[in-house]
Amino acid sequence: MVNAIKLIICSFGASVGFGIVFRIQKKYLIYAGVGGALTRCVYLILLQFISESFIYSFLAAMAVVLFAEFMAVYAKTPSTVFLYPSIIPLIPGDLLYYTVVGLILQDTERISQNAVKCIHSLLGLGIGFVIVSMFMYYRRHLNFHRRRQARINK
Amino acid sequence: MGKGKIKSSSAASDVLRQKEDREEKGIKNLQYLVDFALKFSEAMLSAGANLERVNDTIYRICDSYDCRETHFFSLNCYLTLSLEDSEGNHAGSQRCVRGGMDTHLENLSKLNQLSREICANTPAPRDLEGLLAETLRTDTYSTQVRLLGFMIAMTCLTLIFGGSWKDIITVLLNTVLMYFASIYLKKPGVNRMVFNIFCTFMAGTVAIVMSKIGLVDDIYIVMIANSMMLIPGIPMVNAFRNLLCGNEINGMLEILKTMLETVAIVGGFVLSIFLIGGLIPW
Repeated sequence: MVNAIKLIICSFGASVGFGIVFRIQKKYLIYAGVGGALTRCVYLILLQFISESFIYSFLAAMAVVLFAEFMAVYAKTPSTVFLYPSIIPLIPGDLLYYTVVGLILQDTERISQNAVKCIHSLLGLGIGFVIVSMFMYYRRHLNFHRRRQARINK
Repeated sequence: MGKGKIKSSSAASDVLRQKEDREEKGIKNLQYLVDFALKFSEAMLSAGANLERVNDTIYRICDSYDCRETHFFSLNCYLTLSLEDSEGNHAGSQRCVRGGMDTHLENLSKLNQLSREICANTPAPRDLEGLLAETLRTDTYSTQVRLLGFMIAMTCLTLIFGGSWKDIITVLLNTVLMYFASIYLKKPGVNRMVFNIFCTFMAGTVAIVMSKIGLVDDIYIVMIANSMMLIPGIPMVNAFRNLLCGNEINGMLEILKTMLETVAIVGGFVLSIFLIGGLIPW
Protein backbone atom coordinates (compact mmCIF):
# COMPACT_ATOMS: atom_id res chain seq x y z
CA MET A 1 0.00 0.00 0.00
CA VAL A 2 2.80 2.39 0.98
CA ASN A 3 4.64 1.47 -2.19
CA ALA A 4 1.51 2.11 -4.27
CA ILE A 5 1.06 5.56 -2.71
CA LYS A 6 4.74 6.32 -3.37
CA LEU A 7 4.31 5.28 -7.00
CA ILE A 8 1.19 7.43 -7.41
CA ILE A 9 2.91 10.49 -5.91
CA CYS A 10 5.98 9.92 -8.10
CA SER A 11 3.78 9.58 -11.19
CA PHE A 12 2.11 12.88 -10.30
CA GLY A 13 5.57 14.50 -10.06
CA ALA A 14 6.85 12.89 -13.27
CA SER A 15 3.79 14.10 -15.20
CA VAL A 16 4.13 17.64 -13.82
CA GLY A 17 7.86 17.57 -14.69
CA PHE A 18 7.19 16.39 -18.22
CA GLY A 19 4.35 18.93 -18.44
CA ILE A 20 6.96 21.65 -17.94
CA VAL A 21 9.31 19.97 -20.42
CA PHE A 22 6.49 19.77 -22.98
CA ARG A 23 5.67 23.42 -22.21
CA ILE A 24 1.98 23.17 -21.36
CA GLN A 25 0.32 26.26 -19.95
CA LYS A 26 0.96 26.81 -16.24
CA LYS A 27 -2.74 26.61 -15.38
CA TYR A 28 -2.93 23.06 -16.78
CA LEU A 29 0.14 21.67 -14.97
CA ILE A 30 -1.89 20.44 -12.02
CA TYR A 31 -4.29 18.61 -14.35
CA ALA A 32 -1.31 16.99 -16.08
CA GLY A 33 -0.14 15.75 -12.68
CA VAL A 34 -3.63 14.49 -11.81
CA GLY A 35 -3.69 12.67 -15.16
CA GLY A 36 -0.38 10.96 -14.37
CA ALA A 37 -1.52 9.94 -10.86
CA LEU A 38 -4.86 8.69 -12.22
CA THR A 39 -3.10 6.66 -14.89
CA ARG A 40 -0.85 5.04 -12.30
CA CYS A 41 -3.87 4.32 -10.07
CA VAL A 42 -5.75 2.59 -12.90
CA TYR A 43 -2.59 0.72 -13.90
CA LEU A 44 -1.98 -0.55 -10.35
CA ILE A 45 -5.61 -1.64 -9.94
CA LEU A 46 -5.58 -3.47 -13.27
CA LEU A 47 -2.32 -5.21 -12.38
CA GLN A 48 -4.11 -6.82 -9.40
CA PHE A 49 -6.57 -8.59 -11.69
CA ILE A 50 -4.90 -8.94 -15.09
CA SER A 51 -1.49 -10.41 -15.86
CA GLU A 52 -1.53 -9.89 -19.64
CA SER A 53 0.43 -6.72 -20.51
CA PHE A 54 -1.56 -6.12 -23.70
CA ILE A 55 -4.90 -6.05 -21.82
CA TYR A 56 -3.90 -3.85 -18.91
CA SER A 57 -2.04 -1.41 -21.20
CA PHE A 58 -5.12 -1.28 -23.43
CA LEU A 59 -7.52 -0.57 -20.56
CA ALA A 60 -5.20 1.95 -18.90
CA ALA A 61 -4.76 3.72 -22.25
CA MET A 62 -8.53 3.95 -22.67
CA ALA A 63 -8.84 5.46 -19.20
CA VAL A 64 -6.14 8.06 -19.85
CA VAL A 65 -7.56 9.06 -23.24
CA LEU A 66 -11.02 9.45 -21.70
CA PHE A 67 -9.50 11.72 -19.04
CA ALA A 68 -7.65 13.75 -21.71
CA GLU A 69 -10.75 14.06 -23.91
CA PHE A 70 -12.89 15.11 -20.96
CA MET A 71 -10.32 17.73 -19.95
CA ALA A 72 -10.03 18.90 -23.58
CA VAL A 73 -13.76 19.61 -23.72
CA TYR A 74 -13.61 21.33 -20.31
CA ALA A 75 -10.59 23.51 -21.19
CA LYS A 76 -11.39 23.89 -24.93
CA THR A 77 -7.90 22.85 -25.89
CA PRO A 78 -6.52 19.83 -27.81
CA SER A 79 -6.59 16.57 -25.84
CA THR A 80 -2.88 16.11 -26.64
CA VAL A 81 -2.11 18.80 -24.05
CA PHE A 82 -3.36 16.51 -21.27
CA LEU A 83 -2.59 13.21 -22.95
CA TYR A 84 1.18 13.51 -23.39
CA PRO A 85 2.12 14.23 -19.76
CA SER A 86 -0.50 11.79 -18.46
CA ILE A 87 0.73 8.75 -20.42
CA ILE A 88 4.27 9.01 -19.03
CA PRO A 89 3.61 6.25 -16.42
CA LEU A 90 2.44 3.90 -19.19
CA ILE A 91 5.36 4.29 -21.59
CA PRO A 92 7.43 1.09 -21.56
CA GLY A 93 10.75 2.94 -21.79
CA ASP A 94 12.55 0.41 -19.60
CA LEU A 95 11.32 -2.53 -21.70
CA LEU A 96 12.44 -0.75 -24.87
CA TYR A 97 15.81 -0.12 -23.26
CA TYR A 98 16.32 -3.74 -22.20
CA THR A 99 15.20 -4.97 -25.62
CA VAL A 100 17.82 -2.88 -27.37
CA VAL A 101 20.46 -3.87 -24.79
CA GLY A 102 19.68 -7.49 -25.68
CA LEU A 103 19.90 -6.63 -29.38
CA ILE A 104 23.31 -4.97 -29.02
CA LEU A 105 24.73 -7.70 -26.76
CA GLN A 106 23.12 -10.45 -28.90
CA ASP A 107 21.38 -11.76 -25.77
CA THR A 108 18.41 -13.61 -27.26
CA GLU A 109 16.91 -14.47 -23.88
CA ARG A 110 16.80 -10.81 -22.88
CA ILE A 111 15.29 -9.88 -26.25
CA SER A 112 12.56 -12.52 -26.05
CA GLN A 113 11.71 -11.56 -22.46
CA ASN A 114 11.40 -7.85 -23.07
CA ALA A 115 10.62 -7.33 -26.76
CA VAL A 116 7.37 -9.30 -26.71
CA LYS A 117 6.15 -7.52 -23.56
CA CYS A 118 7.21 -4.16 -25.01
CA ILE A 119 5.36 -4.76 -28.30
CA HIS A 120 2.28 -5.99 -26.41
CA SER A 121 2.30 -2.85 -24.24
CA LEU A 122 2.76 -0.55 -27.23
CA LEU A 123 0.02 -2.30 -29.20
CA GLY A 124 -2.29 -2.17 -26.19
CA LEU A 125 -1.60 1.55 -25.78
CA GLY A 126 -2.03 2.19 -29.50
CA ILE A 127 -5.34 0.33 -29.79
CA GLY A 128 -6.67 1.89 -26.57
CA PHE A 129 -5.85 5.36 -27.89
CA VAL A 130 -7.29 4.68 -31.31
CA ILE A 131 -10.62 3.31 -30.08
CA VAL A 132 -11.43 6.25 -27.80
CA SER A 133 -9.87 8.86 -30.11
CA MET A 134 -11.78 7.53 -33.11
CA PHE A 135 -15.04 7.62 -31.20
CA MET A 136 -14.39 11.24 -30.18
CA TYR A 137 -13.13 12.10 -33.70
CA TYR A 138 -16.29 10.78 -35.38
CA ARG A 139 -18.42 12.59 -32.83
CA ARG A 140 -16.65 15.88 -33.67
CA HIS A 141 -16.75 15.09 -37.39
CA LEU A 142 -20.47 14.41 -37.27
CA ASN A 143 -21.10 17.74 -35.50
CA PHE A 144 -18.88 19.51 -38.05
CA HIS A 145 -20.82 18.06 -41.01
CA ARG A 146 -24.16 18.80 -39.34
CA ARG A 147 -23.14 22.46 -38.87
CA ARG A 148 -21.79 22.60 -42.43
CA GLN A 149 -25.02 21.19 -43.85
CA ALA A 150 -27.05 23.69 -41.81
CA ARG A 151 -24.88 26.52 -43.19
CA ILE A 152 -25.34 25.31 -46.78
CA ASN A 153 -29.10 24.96 -46.31
CA LYS A 154 -29.30 28.49 -44.91
CA MET B 1 -23.58 52.93 -85.26
CA GLY B 2 -19.77 52.72 -85.24
CA LYS B 3 -19.66 54.55 -81.88
CA GLY B 4 -22.17 52.08 -80.40
CA LYS B 5 -20.02 49.18 -81.59
CA ILE B 6 -16.90 50.70 -80.03
CA LYS B 7 -18.82 51.35 -76.78
CA SER B 8 -20.12 47.82 -76.55
CA SER B 9 -16.70 46.31 -77.37
CA SER B 10 -15.03 48.47 -74.67
CA ALA B 11 -17.74 47.43 -72.18
CA ALA B 12 -17.11 43.80 -73.10
CA SER B 13 -13.37 44.23 -72.63
CA ASP B 14 -14.06 45.91 -69.25
CA VAL B 15 -16.16 42.94 -68.19
CA LEU B 16 -13.42 40.60 -69.42
CA ARG B 17 -10.75 42.56 -67.53
CA GLN B 18 -12.86 42.56 -64.38
CA LYS B 19 -13.32 38.83 -64.73
CA GLU B 20 -9.59 38.35 -65.22
CA ASP B 21 -8.83 40.58 -62.21
CA ARG B 22 -11.28 38.61 -60.12
CA GLU B 23 -9.73 35.34 -61.23
CA GLU B 24 -6.25 36.65 -60.57
CA LYS B 25 -7.30 37.85 -57.13
CA GLY B 26 -9.00 34.51 -56.47
CA ILE B 27 -5.88 32.56 -57.42
CA LYS B 28 -3.71 34.87 -55.34
CA ASN B 29 -5.97 34.44 -52.32
CA LEU B 30 -6.00 30.69 -52.85
CA GLN B 31 -2.20 30.65 -53.01
CA TYR B 32 -2.04 32.68 -49.78
CA LEU B 33 -4.37 30.12 -48.21
CA VAL B 34 -2.26 27.17 -49.43
CA ASP B 35 0.97 28.74 -48.13
CA PHE B 36 -0.62 29.52 -44.80
CA ALA B 37 -2.16 26.05 -44.43
CA LEU B 38 1.19 24.35 -45.06
CA LYS B 39 3.02 26.60 -42.60
CA PHE B 40 0.24 26.07 -40.09
CA SER B 41 0.49 22.28 -40.49
CA GLU B 42 4.24 22.41 -40.05
CA ALA B 43 3.85 24.47 -36.88
CA MET B 44 1.28 21.98 -35.53
CA LEU B 45 3.46 18.95 -36.30
CA SER B 46 6.51 20.60 -34.75
CA ALA B 47 4.49 21.40 -31.63
CA GLY B 48 3.55 17.74 -31.24
CA ALA B 49 0.14 17.35 -32.91
CA ASN B 50 -0.76 13.97 -34.34
CA LEU B 51 -1.51 13.62 -38.06
CA GLU B 52 -5.27 13.13 -37.69
CA ARG B 53 -5.60 16.43 -35.87
CA VAL B 54 -3.49 18.27 -38.44
CA ASN B 55 -5.54 16.83 -41.31
CA ASP B 56 -8.79 17.66 -39.56
CA THR B 57 -7.73 21.26 -38.88
CA ILE B 58 -6.59 21.90 -42.45
CA TYR B 59 -9.84 20.53 -43.90
CA ARG B 60 -11.85 22.73 -41.54
CA ILE B 61 -9.88 25.89 -42.39
CA CYS B 62 -10.10 25.26 -46.14
CA ASP B 63 -13.79 24.48 -45.83
CA SER B 64 -14.43 27.78 -44.03
CA TYR B 65 -12.92 29.58 -47.07
CA ASP B 66 -15.44 27.80 -49.33
CA CYS B 67 -12.95 25.52 -51.02
CA ARG B 68 -14.84 23.06 -53.21
CA GLU B 69 -12.01 20.51 -53.23
CA THR B 70 -9.26 20.04 -50.63
CA HIS B 71 -6.59 17.40 -51.11
CA PHE B 72 -4.12 17.20 -48.27
CA PHE B 73 -1.48 14.53 -47.72
CA SER B 74 0.76 14.60 -44.70
CA LEU B 75 3.69 12.73 -43.23
CA ASN B 76 5.66 13.92 -40.24
CA CYS B 77 8.35 15.12 -42.65
CA TYR B 78 6.38 16.07 -45.79
CA LEU B 79 3.16 17.94 -46.59
CA THR B 80 1.30 18.54 -49.81
CA LEU B 81 -1.92 20.45 -50.39
CA SER B 82 -4.01 21.34 -53.43
CA LEU B 83 -7.17 23.43 -53.35
CA GLU B 84 -9.98 24.32 -55.72
CA ASP B 85 -12.25 27.22 -54.82
CA SER B 86 -15.95 27.68 -55.63
CA GLU B 87 -15.04 29.56 -58.85
CA GLY B 88 -12.89 26.74 -60.17
CA ASN B 89 -9.47 28.31 -59.45
CA HIS B 90 -6.70 25.91 -58.49
CA ALA B 91 -3.61 26.27 -56.30
CA GLY B 92 -1.27 23.82 -54.66
CA SER B 93 2.09 23.46 -53.02
CA GLN B 94 4.24 21.15 -50.93
CA ARG B 95 6.53 21.55 -47.99
CA CYS B 96 9.26 19.55 -46.25
CA VAL B 97 9.07 19.64 -42.46
CA ARG B 98 12.54 20.25 -41.12
CA GLY B 99 13.85 20.36 -37.57
CA GLY B 100 11.77 17.48 -36.22
CA MET B 101 9.38 17.49 -33.32
CA ASP B 102 10.07 19.61 -30.25
CA THR B 103 6.90 19.16 -28.24
CA HIS B 104 5.47 22.59 -27.39
CA LEU B 105 1.95 22.02 -26.11
CA GLU B 106 1.29 25.69 -25.35
CA ASN B 107 1.86 26.52 -29.00
CA LEU B 108 -0.42 23.64 -29.92
CA SER B 109 -3.20 25.12 -27.77
CA LYS B 110 -2.67 28.54 -29.32
CA LEU B 111 -2.68 27.11 -32.84
CA ASN B 112 -5.91 25.29 -32.04
CA GLN B 113 -7.43 28.56 -30.80
CA LEU B 114 -6.21 30.36 -33.92
CA SER B 115 -7.75 27.73 -36.18
CA ARG B 116 -11.09 28.16 -34.38
CA GLU B 117 -10.92 31.94 -34.83
CA ILE B 118 -10.00 31.61 -38.49
CA CYS B 119 -12.87 29.23 -39.14
CA ALA B 120 -15.30 31.57 -37.37
CA ASN B 121 -14.15 34.93 -38.78
CA THR B 122 -12.35 34.00 -42.06
CA PRO B 123 -9.88 36.91 -42.11
CA ALA B 124 -8.35 37.99 -45.46
CA PRO B 125 -6.01 35.22 -46.69
CA ARG B 126 -3.04 37.60 -47.01
CA ASP B 127 -3.29 38.41 -43.25
CA LEU B 128 -3.16 34.77 -42.15
CA GLU B 129 0.62 34.40 -42.07
CA GLY B 130 0.91 37.49 -39.85
CA LEU B 131 -1.58 35.94 -37.42
CA LEU B 132 0.42 32.71 -37.37
CA ALA B 133 3.71 34.50 -36.69
CA GLU B 134 2.06 36.46 -33.85
CA THR B 135 0.69 33.26 -32.31
CA LEU B 136 4.06 31.51 -32.24
CA ARG B 137 5.96 34.41 -30.73
CA THR B 138 5.56 33.73 -26.99
CA ASP B 139 7.36 31.18 -24.79
CA THR B 140 6.20 30.60 -21.20
CA TYR B 141 9.12 28.64 -19.80
CA SER B 142 12.73 29.80 -19.62
CA THR B 143 15.70 27.45 -20.04
CA GLN B 144 16.12 27.19 -16.26
CA VAL B 145 12.47 26.31 -15.67
CA ARG B 146 12.58 23.59 -18.33
CA LEU B 147 15.71 22.19 -16.69
CA LEU B 148 13.82 22.20 -13.38
CA GLY B 149 11.00 20.29 -15.11
CA PHE B 150 13.46 17.66 -16.33
CA MET B 151 14.97 17.38 -12.85
CA ILE B 152 11.56 16.87 -11.20
CA ALA B 153 10.62 14.26 -13.81
CA MET B 154 13.93 12.40 -13.56
CA THR B 155 13.85 12.35 -9.74
CA CYS B 156 10.35 10.87 -9.79
CA LEU B 157 11.25 8.31 -12.47
CA THR B 158 14.33 7.21 -10.49
CA LEU B 159 12.11 6.67 -7.44
CA ILE B 160 9.59 4.73 -9.58
CA PHE B 161 12.40 2.45 -10.80
CA GLY B 162 13.41 1.88 -7.16
CA GLY B 163 16.52 4.10 -7.01
CA SER B 164 18.08 5.49 -3.80
CA TRP B 165 18.98 9.11 -2.99
CA LYS B 166 22.55 8.38 -4.17
CA ASP B 167 21.20 7.29 -7.56
CA ILE B 168 19.05 10.43 -7.72
CA ILE B 169 22.13 12.66 -7.29
CA THR B 170 23.89 10.99 -10.22
CA VAL B 171 20.74 11.04 -12.35
CA LEU B 172 20.34 14.77 -11.67
CA LEU B 173 23.98 15.47 -12.50
CA ASN B 174 23.55 13.63 -15.80
CA THR B 175 20.26 15.43 -16.44
CA VAL B 176 21.99 18.82 -16.16
CA LEU B 177 24.84 17.72 -18.43
CA MET B 178 22.53 16.22 -21.03
CA TYR B 179 20.23 19.23 -20.98
CA PHE B 180 23.03 21.70 -21.66
CA ALA B 181 24.49 19.36 -24.26
CA SER B 182 21.11 19.37 -25.99
CA ILE B 183 21.02 23.16 -25.98
CA TYR B 184 24.53 23.62 -27.35
CA LEU B 185 24.63 20.67 -29.72
CA LYS B 186 21.24 21.14 -31.31
CA LYS B 187 22.13 24.55 -32.71
CA PRO B 188 24.69 23.47 -35.33
CA GLY B 189 22.25 20.76 -36.45
CA VAL B 190 24.08 17.71 -35.15
CA ASN B 191 22.62 14.41 -36.33
CA ARG B 192 20.12 13.05 -33.79
CA MET B 193 21.80 9.62 -33.61
CA VAL B 194 25.24 11.15 -32.99
CA PHE B 195 23.73 13.44 -30.38
CA ASN B 196 22.09 10.50 -28.57
CA ILE B 197 25.29 8.43 -28.59
CA PHE B 198 27.28 11.40 -27.30
CA CYS B 199 24.79 12.19 -24.50
CA THR B 200 24.42 8.65 -23.26
CA PHE B 201 28.15 7.95 -23.51
CA MET B 202 28.71 11.02 -21.31
CA ALA B 203 25.95 9.96 -18.88
CA GLY B 204 27.26 6.38 -18.77
CA THR B 205 30.80 7.60 -18.07
CA VAL B 206 29.59 9.84 -15.22
CA ALA B 207 27.51 6.96 -13.78
CA ILE B 208 30.49 4.56 -13.89
CA VAL B 209 32.84 7.08 -12.26
CA MET B 210 30.25 7.85 -9.55
CA SER B 211 29.72 4.11 -9.05
CA LYS B 212 33.45 3.53 -8.56
CA ILE B 213 33.56 6.36 -6.00
CA GLY B 214 30.65 4.69 -4.22
CA LEU B 215 28.04 7.35 -4.97
CA VAL B 216 25.73 5.03 -6.93
CA ASP B 217 23.82 2.05 -5.53
CA ASP B 218 22.46 0.64 -8.78
CA ILE B 219 24.14 1.81 -11.97
CA TYR B 220 21.42 0.31 -14.21
CA ILE B 221 18.67 2.31 -12.52
CA VAL B 222 20.73 5.45 -13.21
CA MET B 223 21.17 4.49 -16.85
CA ILE B 224 17.52 3.62 -17.41
CA ALA B 225 16.30 6.78 -15.67
CA ASN B 226 18.65 8.92 -17.77
CA SER B 227 17.71 7.13 -20.96
CA MET B 228 14.05 8.07 -20.28
CA MET B 229 15.08 11.68 -20.96
CA LEU B 230 15.95 10.74 -24.54
CA ILE B 231 13.93 7.61 -25.35
CA PRO B 232 11.24 8.65 -27.87
CA GLY B 233 8.38 7.05 -25.93
CA ILE B 234 5.60 9.35 -27.15
CA PRO B 235 6.68 9.20 -30.83
CA MET B 236 6.76 5.39 -30.45
CA VAL B 237 3.18 5.32 -29.11
CA ASN B 238 2.11 7.75 -31.87
CA ALA B 239 3.79 5.56 -34.49
CA PHE B 240 1.71 2.56 -33.39
CA ARG B 241 -1.34 4.76 -33.35
CA ASN B 242 -0.59 5.91 -36.93
CA LEU B 243 -0.28 2.30 -38.04
CA LEU B 244 -3.68 1.50 -36.59
CA CYS B 245 -5.32 4.69 -37.90
CA GLY B 246 -4.52 4.09 -41.56
CA ASN B 247 -1.39 6.28 -41.75
CA GLU B 248 0.78 3.21 -42.35
CA ILE B 249 3.60 4.96 -44.21
CA ASN B 250 4.09 7.47 -41.44
CA GLY B 251 3.74 4.74 -38.79
CA MET B 252 6.46 2.60 -40.39
CA LEU B 253 8.81 5.56 -40.84
CA GLU B 254 8.31 6.65 -37.24
CA ILE B 255 8.84 3.14 -35.83
CA LEU B 256 12.08 2.87 -37.79
CA LYS B 257 13.18 6.31 -36.62
CA THR B 258 12.40 5.66 -32.94
CA MET B 259 14.11 2.25 -33.03
CA LEU B 260 17.26 3.77 -34.51
CA GLU B 261 17.21 6.53 -31.92
CA THR B 262 16.82 3.97 -29.13
CA VAL B 263 19.70 1.90 -30.53
CA ALA B 264 21.84 5.06 -30.44
CA ILE B 265 20.79 5.78 -26.84
CA VAL B 266 21.62 2.28 -25.63
CA GLY B 267 24.71 2.21 -27.85
CA GLY B 268 26.16 5.19 -25.95
CA PHE B 269 25.70 3.43 -22.61
CA VAL B 270 27.11 0.15 -23.88
CA LEU B 271 30.10 1.99 -25.36
CA SER B 272 30.80 3.71 -22.05
CA ILE B 273 30.70 0.37 -20.20
CA PHE B 274 32.99 -1.35 -22.70
CA LEU B 275 35.46 1.52 -22.90
CA ILE B 276 35.43 2.85 -19.33
CA GLY B 277 33.48 0.47 -17.15
CA GLY B 278 35.80 -2.46 -17.62
CA LEU B 279 34.43 -5.40 -15.76
CA ILE B 280 30.99 -4.12 -14.71
CA PRO B 281 28.63 -7.00 -15.58
CA TRP B 282 25.30 -6.45 -17.40
